[in-house]
Amino acid sequence: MQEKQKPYAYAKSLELFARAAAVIPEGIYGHQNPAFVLPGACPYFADRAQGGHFWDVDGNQYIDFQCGYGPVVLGHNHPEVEDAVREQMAKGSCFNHPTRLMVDLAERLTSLIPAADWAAFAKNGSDVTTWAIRIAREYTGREKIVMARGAYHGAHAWCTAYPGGVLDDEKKHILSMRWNRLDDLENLADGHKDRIAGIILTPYHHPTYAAQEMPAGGFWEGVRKICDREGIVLIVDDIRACFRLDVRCSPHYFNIDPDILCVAKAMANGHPISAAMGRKNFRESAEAVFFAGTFWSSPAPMAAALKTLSILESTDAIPKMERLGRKLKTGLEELGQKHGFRVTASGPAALPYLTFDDDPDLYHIQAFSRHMISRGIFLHPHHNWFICAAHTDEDIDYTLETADEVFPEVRKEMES
Amino acid sequence: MDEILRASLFLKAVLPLMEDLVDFDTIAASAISDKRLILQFEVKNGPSSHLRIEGGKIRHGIGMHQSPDIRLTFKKPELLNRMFDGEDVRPGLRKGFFHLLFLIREFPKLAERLQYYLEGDGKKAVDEKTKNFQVRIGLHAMLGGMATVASDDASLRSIADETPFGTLLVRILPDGPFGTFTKLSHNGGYIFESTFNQPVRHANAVMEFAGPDAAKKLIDGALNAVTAIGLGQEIKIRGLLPLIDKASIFLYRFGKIMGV
Repeated sequence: MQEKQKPYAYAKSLELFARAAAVIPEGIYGHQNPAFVLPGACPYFADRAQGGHFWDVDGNQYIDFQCGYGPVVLGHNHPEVEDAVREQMAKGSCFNHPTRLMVDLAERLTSLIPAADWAAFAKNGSDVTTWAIRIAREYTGREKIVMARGAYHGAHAWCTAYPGGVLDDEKKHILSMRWNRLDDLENLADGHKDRIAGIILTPYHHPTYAAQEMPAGGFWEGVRKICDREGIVLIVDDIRACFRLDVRCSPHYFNIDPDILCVAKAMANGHPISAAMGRKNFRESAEAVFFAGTFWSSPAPMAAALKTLSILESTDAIPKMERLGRKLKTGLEELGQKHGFRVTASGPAALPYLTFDDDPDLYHIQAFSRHMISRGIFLHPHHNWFICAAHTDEDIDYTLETADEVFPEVRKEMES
Repeated sequence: MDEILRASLFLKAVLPLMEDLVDFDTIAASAISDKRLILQFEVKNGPSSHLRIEGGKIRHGIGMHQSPDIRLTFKKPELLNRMFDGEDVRPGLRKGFFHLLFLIREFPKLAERLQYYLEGDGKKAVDEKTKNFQVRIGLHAMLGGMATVASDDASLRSIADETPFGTLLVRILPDGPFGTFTKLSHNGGYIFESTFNQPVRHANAVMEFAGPDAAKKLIDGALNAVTAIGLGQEIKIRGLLPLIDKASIFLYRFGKIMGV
């Protein structure tokens, strides 16, 4: 555990960001842009990581509750995973052809995941969510896609929340419903009879800037029923939570029966790979929608995925994350109460997110995260957190001990 | 080019700057010192705004005035835009023939002075007072522009829908100016509005410029907001970030439409 030599400074991060800004659009783009976290009050550039911790370019050490925004599930630099990667890299990393590992991995996934009769691989979540909606359109011959408001399915034109460079045509067939609102879905199905190709939903709702919402009782059964009745393809986007709640992925955990399942993030413990899987009746349509990328058959991430799945299946990694996450959630809620705050740690235990109930404007959570980060605990103020199997009870204890110091700081700051 | 949106922006975000102009600029002030009239601008079947000129002051209002002294009607938004761009355009004068002299002599002076401050000389360094005025009208235009785009730009309707309710306070440290961009509920729906140097009861989000220099750089396009926010010195943000996020989309669109 790191010494309490806090608060941290970020001089080298800022210096590097100034250089980056000269040659890279926005300096750092997308979700890693500092404006999305805590500008001027958090690290911008990482240097190294090990287990459940990382170090920034200023040498500050953190308990890493962001885990690369999810991919790191076993811990950074997991020796067995890295050995498997090194072994493959020694043979080569980019070929004219896929390797045996692609077949091994597809076989592994189709035997492991109930909804998977076939599997195909890419690099990022957007690659497979976009492919999935095209398969749904090909299968049904319809154009509309339903998604939940505030859900994130990637950065492609059909699903991005930003208008830059997006044509109206690219969004005109996207319909939205409120999470957990079967009545919304019924209304859409009625209003767009025989025109909805697919519905894409995350297994539970994990928007940014807001508390996470678990599926209400009967929600998924209702969605399945409407899809079956209306001939709509049910796509589950499990990019964020896959393999963290259940090695058979979140549909198994939540008892969902998808037609197509998209996964990525934790699949290879930080190595870049995503996958789409589906029922056999969608295979012909999948074959009709061209799907390719130069690096999509890279074997090293496939080696990492095979090893990661094997470790997740054969160890107590998943129950451990659940236990540590529950300890963190309960501890933070109790500490919040102790210091006069009403706080809620929402979402599954292994992917929690803290909100202050009386803070719709996010001032409290921003202050809380800033103080926690400056004391060596990386807790994102606007995005759900991730527990990994390398976190320890000591990490959680240290986090709670620090939170006990920080809640009064937040109170003081808000009162001033 | 979205001509109708551009016309809206001229009428709702640029025309209000006349209020500031006559308070600051002696040439502009003298052009209206003895005038008392209401000047109406309208695009046929489109946006409209009016200026009340009285006692050496100008007050701007959105929409049609009940009894304007001069009523300028533009058949197409392009015509109004060309006039604001400095071209010699003759709108239909539906009312106010007795005020023709004002239209011919004084109003062009006001427009010219406003353009001078908005665009600057380019090469000449300006004094501190002028720079602060340029920042003031730049911020005023920016806030009005964001609210106008959010309200009127059909291509950003879904972004407007997704914008959270609340007030974004934009202020220049240490002493202002400041203003707000707000989405508020209205008749079961919502509207956007901006205020300038009016008391603010509660800000759901805050964007602060370290000083007039930082604000001037942003207004002149010499400072990238995202980079400046990242560097954490010249612009600071906090609070309801989704509101700032969406406001920045409206601001970008305002700049793009106005060619800033």
